[in-house]
Amino acid sequence: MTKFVLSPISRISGHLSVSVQLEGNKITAADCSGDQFRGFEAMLKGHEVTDAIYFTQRICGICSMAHGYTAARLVGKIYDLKLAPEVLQLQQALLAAEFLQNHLRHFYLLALPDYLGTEALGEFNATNTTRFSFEQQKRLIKDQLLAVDYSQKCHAMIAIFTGKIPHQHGLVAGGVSVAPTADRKLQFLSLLDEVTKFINNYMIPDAYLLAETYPDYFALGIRPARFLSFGLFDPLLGEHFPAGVYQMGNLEPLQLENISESQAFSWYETTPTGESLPDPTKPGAYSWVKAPRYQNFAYEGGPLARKIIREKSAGRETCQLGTMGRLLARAEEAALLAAWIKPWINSLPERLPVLATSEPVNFEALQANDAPRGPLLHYTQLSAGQINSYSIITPSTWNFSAKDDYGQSGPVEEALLETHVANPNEPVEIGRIIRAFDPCLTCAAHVITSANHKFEIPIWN
Amino acid sequence: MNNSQRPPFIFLEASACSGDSISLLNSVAPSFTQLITELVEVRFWNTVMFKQGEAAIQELYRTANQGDFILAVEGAIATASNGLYAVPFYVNGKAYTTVELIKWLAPKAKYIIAVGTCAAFGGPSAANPNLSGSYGVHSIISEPVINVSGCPVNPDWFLGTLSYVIKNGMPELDSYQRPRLFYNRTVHSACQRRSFYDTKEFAEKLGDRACMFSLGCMGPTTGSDCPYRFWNEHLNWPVKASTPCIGCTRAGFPDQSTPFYTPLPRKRTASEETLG
Repeated sequence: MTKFVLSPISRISGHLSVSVQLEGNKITAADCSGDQFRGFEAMLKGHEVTDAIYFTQRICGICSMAHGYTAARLVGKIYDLKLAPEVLQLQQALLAAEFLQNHLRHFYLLALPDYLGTEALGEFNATNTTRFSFEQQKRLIKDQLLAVDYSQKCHAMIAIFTGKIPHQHGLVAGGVSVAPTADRKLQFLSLLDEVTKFINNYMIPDAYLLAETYPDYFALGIRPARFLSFGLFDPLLGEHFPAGVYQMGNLEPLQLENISESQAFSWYETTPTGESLPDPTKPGAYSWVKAPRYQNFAYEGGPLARKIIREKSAGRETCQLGTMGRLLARAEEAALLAAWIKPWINSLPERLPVLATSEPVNFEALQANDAPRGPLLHYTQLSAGQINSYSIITPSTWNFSAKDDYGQSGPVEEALLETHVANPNEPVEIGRIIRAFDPCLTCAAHVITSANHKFEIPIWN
Repeated sequence: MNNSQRPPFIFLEASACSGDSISLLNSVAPSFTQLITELVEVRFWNTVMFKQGEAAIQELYRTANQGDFILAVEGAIATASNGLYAVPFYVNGKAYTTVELIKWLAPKAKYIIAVGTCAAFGGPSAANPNLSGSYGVHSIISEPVINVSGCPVNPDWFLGTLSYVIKNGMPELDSYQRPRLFYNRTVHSACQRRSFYDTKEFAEKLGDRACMFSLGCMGPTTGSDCPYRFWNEHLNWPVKASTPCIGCTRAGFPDQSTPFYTPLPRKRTASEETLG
């Protein structure tokens, strides 16, 4: 039996290390350590609720729009704003563009290098650490460099309507501050057209080439079939990913009251008043990431979960699973979203209703929807018009969760368990399995300010 | 460009959101690819480097011990509980905190550039009540730090500073140790909506084509060239999108900018930023 720590795990967002135990060539234990805590929930206390839209984006630089969108919808519920369908359509087009940016960068810059086995961007691999032929390497490296340009076009699409991104300004509770005039729609659609062609003509073929070259990775990183999605895009507006809970072949409706959170192995202590406070010296703990659970089980979120749930709700099973299943689902999702965005922007009236405004009418609100990496939830309670508590559960909190009260592993830990490592001195499988989840540890460490570890949801609509 | 001798480059990620790294990926000219293949020789940059684990750490040690590298830092330095709130990696079971790493690297570096407002001044990572005890890099070390603030940094500000440093050495800095080239005038002084301010046409809501002062604009006290620099392929910036500047390059960001939509005199702790 050997134990070792893979640290740092590079090509991710934030700090992550993984401690692994090998018996022979098999992984028999895995602890994922998220190694960063900032405490946004405590920072938000006492702020105006409208501050949350810009403030929570600072949680994550690679999916800032996801936090901005979710917080904007949350604030909209506090103010009881009813947005016109076209306004929602523009908002979700901007959210979708963030997914495209994320997926392009993840596939080409973060995941693909694992299989190319090169040391630096633009360099060929002269060693035998890749299965790709010289010609295939040449093609993939060329596409990788192109992806740098196309991914920034996705951000340019967003900035047309939001001023800048990361950390956009224009998507707010009442709508979008920039009207979709003819020139802006044209600019957005022209960029979208270029990005769409790149996804269909380069990213998809490259993803399939990867899958054909490394087919064994469909079987690596398999975990118990529990997948979760909070849903992506408004079903009333047409194309969307439905919310749902996929559990061992069954699809069930999402019920948020089934969510609980454990901090048994996470660096937090509970105060007598029920507050969760950081304690990095807690004995036995090994991560800043807590352990959210659905009906006490670990659930995976992300493109594969969305695909499985969408397919199942149409009566179909998804058979491409594991590490390569996760990578393929992400590429396919990019192609799907690029196609969905076009009519959303195309059909916008040139004059949208002006930004909705009103007075706050509710003192608490919850918003749950999917972000690029999976289910994202913001929940706030106000007191005297200001934020009294703000709780966040991010996708990477689900995927990279530590063990829970029952000692059950989190999804990425589950995916590592039982993995056969070909060469224990060069355990390339570990990084590949982990990166397929698109780790975001800057997002992952968050606290739920709840007295018992059960997440109470008083209102849900 | 065409540096035959590219300077070794370490990009240390501390307590941040990776937004500055992502913003650098949005750079147009030079492109991100040109940055890492022609301008500098990247030895360590967790978000983008191909190496991982021990091999990555060995590269970091090798570069540090050779000295004469450029050190860029993204994120604030977390000091609470001996720095355990931010641990980039472990060696033989020992946690290496960002406090230790920055104190070890700083004396060996030729130049130190704080990238983004967290690294420069603490920023969002150090917002009240700052449970992680986070501070800007300059508070932790005694070596000079060039602060290239912004939340995130505009890629032009960082790349402009980096290329100046490589070619000419220390740039001229303002009293916040920021390059004067980018930060020495207020947003307000060059704002396209300045005429609306002068004629007192103030916005009533976001999206109005008017002056954003009434909606909390921090332009009058924020040093930055956003109004003529622009973001994301140089096509927009927050006031052009009919939203207020929220003062993201300032030392007091984000706390002093909040409530974001409340006019300056009534913000939490409004203070003048002395430019020059």
